[in-house]
Amino acid sequence: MNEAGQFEPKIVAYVCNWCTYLGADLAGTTRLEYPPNVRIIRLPCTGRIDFNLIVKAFEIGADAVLVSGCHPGDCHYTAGNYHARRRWILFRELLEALGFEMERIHFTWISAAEGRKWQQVVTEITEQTRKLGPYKNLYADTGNGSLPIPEAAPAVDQPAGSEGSLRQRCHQLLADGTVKVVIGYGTGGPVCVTKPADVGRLVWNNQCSSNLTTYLKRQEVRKLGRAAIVVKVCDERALVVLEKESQLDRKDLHVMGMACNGMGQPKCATCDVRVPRFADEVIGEVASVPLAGPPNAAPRGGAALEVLLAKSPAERMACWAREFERCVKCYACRQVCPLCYCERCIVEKNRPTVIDPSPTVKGNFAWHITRAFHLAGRCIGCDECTRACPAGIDLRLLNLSLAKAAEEHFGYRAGINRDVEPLIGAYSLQDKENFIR
Amino acid sequence: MSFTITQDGLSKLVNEWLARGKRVAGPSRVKRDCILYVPLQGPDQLLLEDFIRPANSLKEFLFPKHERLFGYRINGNGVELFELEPPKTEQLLIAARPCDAAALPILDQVFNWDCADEFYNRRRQLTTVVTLACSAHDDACFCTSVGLSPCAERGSDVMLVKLDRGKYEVRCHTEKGRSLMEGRLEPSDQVASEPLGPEKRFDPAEVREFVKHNFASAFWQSEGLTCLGCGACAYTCPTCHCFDIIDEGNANEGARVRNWDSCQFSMFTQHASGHNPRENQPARQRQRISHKFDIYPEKFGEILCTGCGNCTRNCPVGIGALSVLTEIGHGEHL
Amino acid sequence: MSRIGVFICWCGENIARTVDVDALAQEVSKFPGVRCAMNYKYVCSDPGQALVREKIAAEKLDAVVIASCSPHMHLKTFRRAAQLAGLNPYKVEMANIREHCSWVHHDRAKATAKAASLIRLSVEKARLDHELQPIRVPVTRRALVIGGGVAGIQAALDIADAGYEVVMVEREPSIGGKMAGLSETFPTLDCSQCILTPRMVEVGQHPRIKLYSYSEVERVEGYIGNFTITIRQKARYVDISKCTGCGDCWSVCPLKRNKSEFDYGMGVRASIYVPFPQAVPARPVIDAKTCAKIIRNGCGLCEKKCKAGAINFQDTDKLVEEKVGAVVVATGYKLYDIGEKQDKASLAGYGEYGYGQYKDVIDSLQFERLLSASGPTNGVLKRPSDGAEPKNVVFISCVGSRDNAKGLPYCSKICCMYTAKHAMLYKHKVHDGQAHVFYMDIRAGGKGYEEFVRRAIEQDGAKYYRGRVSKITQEDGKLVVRGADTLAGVPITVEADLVVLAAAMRPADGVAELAQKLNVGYDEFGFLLESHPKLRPVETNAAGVFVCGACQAPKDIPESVAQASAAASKVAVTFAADELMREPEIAGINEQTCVACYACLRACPYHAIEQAEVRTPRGVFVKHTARVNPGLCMGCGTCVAVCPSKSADLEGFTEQQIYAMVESLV
Repeated sequence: MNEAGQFEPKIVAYVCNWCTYLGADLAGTTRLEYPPNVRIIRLPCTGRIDFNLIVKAFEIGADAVLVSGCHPGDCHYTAGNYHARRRWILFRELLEALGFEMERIHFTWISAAEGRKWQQVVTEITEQTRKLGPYKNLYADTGNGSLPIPEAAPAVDQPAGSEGSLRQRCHQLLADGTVKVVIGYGTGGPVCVTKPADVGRLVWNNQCSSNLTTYLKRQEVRKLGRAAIVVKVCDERALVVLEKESQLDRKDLHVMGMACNGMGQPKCATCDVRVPRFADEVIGEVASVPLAGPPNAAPRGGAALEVLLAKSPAERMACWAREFERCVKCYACRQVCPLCYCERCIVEKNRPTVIDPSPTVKGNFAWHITRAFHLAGRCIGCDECTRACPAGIDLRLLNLSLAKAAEEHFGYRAGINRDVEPLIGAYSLQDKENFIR
Repeated sequence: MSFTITQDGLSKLVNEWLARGKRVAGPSRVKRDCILYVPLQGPDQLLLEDFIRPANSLKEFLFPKHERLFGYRINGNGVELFELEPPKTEQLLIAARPCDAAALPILDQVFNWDCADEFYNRRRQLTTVVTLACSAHDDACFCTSVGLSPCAERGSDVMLVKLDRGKYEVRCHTEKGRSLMEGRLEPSDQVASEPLGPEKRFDPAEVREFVKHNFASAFWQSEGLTCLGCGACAYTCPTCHCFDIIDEGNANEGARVRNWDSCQFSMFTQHASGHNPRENQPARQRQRISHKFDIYPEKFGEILCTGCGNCTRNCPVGIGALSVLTEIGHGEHL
Repeated sequence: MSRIGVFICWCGENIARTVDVDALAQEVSKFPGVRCAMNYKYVCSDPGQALVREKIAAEKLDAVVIASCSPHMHLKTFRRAAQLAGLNPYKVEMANIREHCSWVHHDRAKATAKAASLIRLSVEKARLDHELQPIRVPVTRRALVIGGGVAGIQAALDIADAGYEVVMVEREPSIGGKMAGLSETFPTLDCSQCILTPRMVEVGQHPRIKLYSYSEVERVEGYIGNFTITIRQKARYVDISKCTGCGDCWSVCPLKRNKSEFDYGMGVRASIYVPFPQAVPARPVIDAKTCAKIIRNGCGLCEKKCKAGAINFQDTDKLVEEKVGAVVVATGYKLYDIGEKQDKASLAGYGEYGYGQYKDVIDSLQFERLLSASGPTNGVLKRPSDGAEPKNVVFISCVGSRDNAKGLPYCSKICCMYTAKHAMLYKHKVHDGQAHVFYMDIRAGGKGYEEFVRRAIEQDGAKYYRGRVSKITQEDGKLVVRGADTLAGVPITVEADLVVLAAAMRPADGVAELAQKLNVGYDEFGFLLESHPKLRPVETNAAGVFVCGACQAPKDIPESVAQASAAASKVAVTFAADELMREPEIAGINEQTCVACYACLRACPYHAIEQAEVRTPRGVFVKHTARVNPGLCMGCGTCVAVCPSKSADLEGFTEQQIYAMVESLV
């Protein structure tokens, strides 16, 4: 507020050093007047501008955020802006799903010659934000928010005889020393079987929905030696991602693929493959395994995501505010995720504190935004995060919003193709930029 | 001869408290597959029957997951500290499970051991606990193994025991409870039968003996192997009480806060040097059991577990304390 | 607590007119970590800088913020000033209260408030500035030149003549490249070999040039000043240190009907051969694909005949390492394939022209060999099918070039000129012959170029038709060329004895793989990318790697030579000092927390991040990690943004600094 009681928007601008910063310099040199609401934070390149910075700007009370850099082809560092563009395409979809007011987030390309464009952009953003008023709805539970609940697929029995074959094969593998441990399903939870005599602890039934590939990151399990791991086709996608990210050497692993009829989970409702494709061996009758539903029966994101996206931004944010209110930061979502394998999670970093570690509304939003976006183009949709959450927070919807974005914008599905490079860390000149001014 | 209250009577109680600006918390279905203790907006949110127990515990109403201890402001090159107002809202915890209520006297000890925790104690004084005796139990429940029962009185100001659907026998255990229920009860001939608890699964004394003498046992290695190191067990446990203290704020001001912490996190014992005395998950699992059944009893004379089974139900990989304790009890480690 | 000095510049009236510098200094002096704040008329002036230096000493300042103009204007000035006063120059920050404040706002109160906020940002940053030292990189003053065509030759000779050693790697058995096979060159019609071969000999004999012919670059490691190049010397089966080049071997070789690569299949050679008489080195090579000894242990006549004992049928590829400080890439071009078969899915060929099907439809380089006095026909023009002298020759330009439908939208630049030359040379050899040229436009920009084309038309009577050829068929021993003259608006049919196709220029085979080894970018057609199309035309984004010649874009000989000299001079600049100084504001990886997912490695535009291992002092493997090569990092920070655990950070713009800045805006 200024002295006259008029609302003065606070606008944080992250700009690159070589184009937009110089464009703003040119606006000064040519004395182009504009409102004084923008605070420029100079960074070397848009490639350096991380999504966490955008979140942080809103956390400190920014009413709008501007991110600006060199036009495509002009990047001082060749490709930083292309990398940034790809991340923004995905990040915007996440913010949409969370119900951010997108008219407060601006992306532009402003060159060193475009002093006038800088003036126009800043003036317009300031005026537009002034009209919008302070960002009161950030992380706000404005009422009536209730997150849609995805429908699960009907539970189906698993192929007969698979369990017996699995035990028999594992006995063999352990006995002949091919592997030192079998990571499999047991009654009540995962088991690590190290002795041939114990293979009777292994089960295969329609309670085996969890994704065991998360054990591949556990030092305790790794120390046991070469492992055989029991996977379904959905779990197997994690192996593809882990391999691409140098977290896994398939030589060190024997993959027991299970032909699966579905586990009666929401993820099973959109499953379109039943038989592992990259396993060292497949157990179960391939031909006799029908799909629970026709391929792509539901929209890839699932009906619940469609329902969520059909709500107004304020409603979406209210939904999430209500969900995250319950989050206690036990990090079960992180620990069960096969792809959250950092040894020191970013939330544990305190110089600087990128994410408030406290389970406050702010800290919880920052955490869940970060967790979801770190899985952008990586999440394989095993839904373990949702299953593990003791507070019943439906994190899958955030993951799905990003998976949907990856597929829509880049034709990319994580863990499907072993020959395709990871989505983040690559770019294409054709990446869309209709949201960039 | 007994005294009873109906569900309507309870609703009235809830409404009256809320109308006076007080807080009422109790079990509520927050979504399809999730029942939690939450602050209630009205009596219709209160869930009394047809479930085993909420997925969280009562402790968060006395020892919240996040609490500001004092504030600070940065003035030029100096820092100014200021006290925060202690809690002052009276709260009614209604339809709590006896295994949750029993945890409160345990927490009382730990928050008043070397110093009296002002925030905790204030909340405790402002809190009235109305428990509802369990009429059902599941495979995870084991209150009877730790000396409690579906209608254990410990920690309750008032206990409700189901008579018929919508009707409860009321047993006031404290003065606070009696004054809460004054004028709300009807005399009755019915006396509730003692609900059946789960079978005894192990003997805490045996567990204690075991952990005392088997620090280096291979048992722990295999038990902790599938643990993924999240805090779901500790954060939903009625008795786990570890916290972390940090300063949180912006460039101008902030607060020293305490947040829940869990011994299952690898960072929990990580030294600044990088050394970690509990270097793997089995060591952390051992710690949790040892603390509950040996270290805590050593210091306070009672075990740090009420047999609620939340750790088992909430564990994403189906571990929980019970499976470990039963195995110890059955001598499977030998 | 920090001891930061803030110096607010009036910039004469430029700042002081709009910003209340006194009030500002007072407010700023209360910011956390600020030791003193003052204002001065011109901080950048000598007395202004003296004031800064004085205060650094007197107040023992540990960082300085200059609130004045853009850092692009004066950051270097103030860093120098700080250094003179004994303060690390990287502990200086600027707050841009002129371009970003006083010049764009008029409301004094608002401008002053904004200036305070901008200074606060810089104070927060300065508080967390690290003391940095420029990175010194030692320089190996030797250059690698890849490609021994005219561009590579020029670059190598220039660098060697400047006094530095050169390692030249040429894929073919001889240097000389495409130019060695040309007949005469436009617009002067001087004999190509006559001007090139002396330069080739010079390379062969230069005391500072080490030539690896019949060799390829296998691996490139290191960075500017410090490259280690692994070179694959392909098995030649002839020990060129023993060989005298007498020629006994290829005279005795019974297998003489192999198509000559140098003649583009227009001539033949033996299985042991030198590509052409003036080859450098003038030493033969055995074609392992056709040699009877190698294939089935037969023959072996050359070995028996060789007095020097230079033949070695057991020869294998050898890998050798060379250390160099700079690399010049001059890998040149090849012609577009014309026929149906293409090496890239995005390209389509011209099946309708019958290339490869009709013997007398040839490409322009094949025609050069037919024209060349040292060519397979000794300069007598004979068509390939029956050796008859062609009386009607059709030249078609833009075959592949400027044709989106075929996948190459660009202009190959030299075809207009050489087609005119071809028409002219043809007429000089076949006086009663007629040259017909189908063209799209005539692009003859260059000294004497337009005049040259006019000569072909006016003096040598070449018939030019503006239009494309739709189809070539063979009827009664004649090639029937059907096209259109779009100027006259009529369809044209020419009965030809020979058709010459001016195929598009494309980068030589394997250039993409080479570019990847060198971390040089390339465009969708495979041409290497220069750093800046106008201001840095021979540099690439890989520091220390330069480009010249047709590997960068289609160009003619004079341009290639000029660019080669430019690249050579850039190499000489690189070698001018014993050490290179690089800005220390680069990325680093916290190897303790890095989980080696290599997102940074994939994203780094400079390939400056490598896979590495953490080992204990005793060499025990601990973990994998990403590691930044300080010689290659340019400090863009893309790695920081993609690092999930924030193990990557960027000096000068550290995470702590940026978050402290944002949080100060609360």
